[in-house]
Amino acid sequence: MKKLFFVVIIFLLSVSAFPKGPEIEDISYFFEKQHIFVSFFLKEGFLNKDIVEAIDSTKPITFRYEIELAKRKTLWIDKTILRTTIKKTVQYDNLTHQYEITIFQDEKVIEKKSLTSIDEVTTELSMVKEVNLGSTTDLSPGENVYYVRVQAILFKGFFLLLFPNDVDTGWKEKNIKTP
Amino acid sequence: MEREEYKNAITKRKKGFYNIVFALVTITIFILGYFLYKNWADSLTAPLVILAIFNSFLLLTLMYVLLRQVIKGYLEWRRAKEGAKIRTRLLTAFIFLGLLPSLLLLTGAIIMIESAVESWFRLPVHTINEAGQKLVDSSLNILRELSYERAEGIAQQVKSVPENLYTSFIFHISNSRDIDAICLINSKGEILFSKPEDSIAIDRFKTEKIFSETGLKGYIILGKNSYVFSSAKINNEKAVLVGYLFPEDLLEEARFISENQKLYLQAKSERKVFKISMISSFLALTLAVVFASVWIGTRLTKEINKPLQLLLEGTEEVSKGNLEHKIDYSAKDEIGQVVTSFNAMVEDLLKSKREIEKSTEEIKAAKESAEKRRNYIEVLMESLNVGIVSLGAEGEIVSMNKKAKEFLELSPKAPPQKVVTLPSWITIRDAINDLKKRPEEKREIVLTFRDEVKVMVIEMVPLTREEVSYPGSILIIEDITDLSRTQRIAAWQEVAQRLAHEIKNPLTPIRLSAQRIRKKLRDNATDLNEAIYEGTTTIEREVESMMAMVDEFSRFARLPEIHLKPGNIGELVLSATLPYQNAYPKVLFSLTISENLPQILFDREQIERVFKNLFENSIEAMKMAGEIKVSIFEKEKNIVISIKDTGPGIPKEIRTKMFLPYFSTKRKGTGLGLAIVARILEEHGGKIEIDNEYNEGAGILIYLPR
Repeated sequence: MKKLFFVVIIFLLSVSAFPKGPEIEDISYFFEKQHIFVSFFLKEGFLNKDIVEAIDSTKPITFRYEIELAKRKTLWIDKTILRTTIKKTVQYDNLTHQYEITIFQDEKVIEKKSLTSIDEVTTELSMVKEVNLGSTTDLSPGENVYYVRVQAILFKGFFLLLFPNDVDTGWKEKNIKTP
Repeated sequence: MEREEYKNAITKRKKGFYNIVFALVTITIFILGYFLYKNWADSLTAPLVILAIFNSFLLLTLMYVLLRQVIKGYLEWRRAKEGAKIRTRLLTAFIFLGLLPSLLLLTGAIIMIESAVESWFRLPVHTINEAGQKLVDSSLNILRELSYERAEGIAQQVKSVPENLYTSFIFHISNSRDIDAICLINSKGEILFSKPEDSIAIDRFKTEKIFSETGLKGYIILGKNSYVFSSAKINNEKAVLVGYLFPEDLLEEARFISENQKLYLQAKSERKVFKISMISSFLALTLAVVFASVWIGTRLTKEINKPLQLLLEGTEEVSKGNLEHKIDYSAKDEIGQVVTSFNAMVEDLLKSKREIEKSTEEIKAAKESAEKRRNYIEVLMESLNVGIVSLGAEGEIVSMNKKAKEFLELSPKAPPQKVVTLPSWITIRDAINDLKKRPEEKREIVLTFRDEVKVMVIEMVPLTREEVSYPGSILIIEDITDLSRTQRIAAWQEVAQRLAHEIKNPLTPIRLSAQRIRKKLRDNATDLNEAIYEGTTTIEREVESMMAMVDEFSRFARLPEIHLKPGNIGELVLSATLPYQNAYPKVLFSLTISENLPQILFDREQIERVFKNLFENSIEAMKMAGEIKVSIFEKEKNIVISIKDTGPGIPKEIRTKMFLPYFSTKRKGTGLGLAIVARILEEHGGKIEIDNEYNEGAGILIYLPR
């Protein structure tokens, strides 16, 4: 039993020693015209050099952001009230050296861009600004039970070369106070 | 048997449960895999998803089989089930035999795939592609620079005219032959002028870019007509874009090179997926091989272990005594032969066991019968009024009955062997030694105890019947004390009668003499003096006779103390015979004396008296004519003097009492002679016996200790 304990401890220490992966940062929000707008930033989204290589290979690469507004529940699962998905797809044209970026919100194209450098692309793909999450009319005013959570699903991977899995950031939360 | 069936039923049920769980998990994997394939996979990853599903299934199956075997093996090992150890070893060996080469192959394959795939992308094709791409880029860069410079120049020119004439001025420039396309846009992204129309689409991003510090430089628009655009700000509100057509032939070449480069880059980017799919395929193969080896190993182990387990169980059953256990297994191989031999051996054992049981039953019955007989004999022995002592081959005490213990005054609970510690045993032992020589005889012995003297008759019977002989013998002891006492009383009565008679005999002549003298005196008879003389003579004679008789009695009662001195008994015997040889010429004395007789301690006077008494008795019995044979020899620890005459012998009825005092068959005997003889010899530590073996006359044996 002691041996097992030490193995677990060593495993946990070794895991914690690895550099952290991509994560969501700087979640901010504001209310306007009974809507909530959310902004955030993806840190270390391009830590994996494979992503840059994949973009340069002219394949379309998509970063998907899931944004939710949820209500905390005691002794129960939190209730999701608002949800939206932002997809940012980049496709590089190696003839023109331009990066065509298409931004979707809930599968609808909301914007297209053509960028000429990878730095612009990384910034564009990592930044989500003022996304309209939805109407806040159903939210109870002046309460601290709500929060916004965001996760980014970056690319498809294979865990242990065997199991298909999405590389994501995991949910990042920020408490909000309704006006 | 019921327990076995119950166990089998439980095992079957468990197996069924595990199979259902396994089937459910498998179905779940395939359903999840299907959804993953449908919703997650794309054209690139679809084969990988399928492989992943297949690998997951194989891995799960393998883990299930391995885990099941490990748990089963561990439990069987802990329960010390028959064949568990060899089963685990065999299975481990099979698993490792399958696993080790497979893992080595997989590792080798992974290394080779990694190395091979990476080496593909290190080939010069990459350089060639890049070179082609650079050529295209160079051509484009010329157009970029040209469009940028021209845009800057036009912007400078436009700045010199009033703002409301910007469009007219641009229109004027558009007719210039060195420009393929020109646009005027405002900061809102609205196109104010464009020639040709729709040569460029303006969006927010482009607008921002155009009005930024860097401006839009060398922006390429591909379409029916492909342009390279560059922008230049006229002011913060207006900007001009100048475009040059991409030459068709160059565009074609550029497209071709770019497409190839694209394919190369995509392939390079997907090399990881390719590697994964290759490794995944190898993994699937490895898992399939390992699973097959484990499965085959399990089956083979079961095949090998089953008869072995059955044999072990059989051995266990047989060791517990269940010889009816049969191993239900048939095969034509060596194990089958072993099983057949085992069954045959157990059958033989069963037969032998039954025979032994039968013999045991017979022995038990015989033992019970013997026990009954023994009990019967014991009861019989205990019921007997005589003492029975069984002696071993060496004369040791084996057992004795209650009566014998009673006779010998031994505690009933005391072990029979304790009898040897009793003083009386010495007498018995001597008698036994005598009886060993003459087993058909009986011996009368006198045992002195603390409170009483007992007379016993002992007889030794050898344990022989017909032709059957056992070592040892039986000693029969009969207490004849009461009988002896009766005989002694009878003897004393006879002595009293004889004494009375002997006293009465001289009294009659004395009374008659006295009466005659008184009559002669009363009658004043003339022959008074003569009568007195004769009468007193008679009285004197009878009184002397009576005195002699009294002296004899007194002598018996008060025998002088013996004075033992060493001497030659042969010489004494010889000197004792001499007077009789001279006095009785018709009596022949033959004397045989063994050579080298040792000197012994004796009272010469007393022992001489013994011989005289005995010789006189013989001579008288032979009526002064006959033969007296005297032989002296050494026997064990005694000197034995045997005296045999040719007289009428000693009647059997008096043999037991002839050494008692006052017993005599002679008319004038006092009956003390032989009693004195016996007493003298007793005081010397010896004894006198009648020689029953001698039948031609009287035979006497005298024993004197050496």
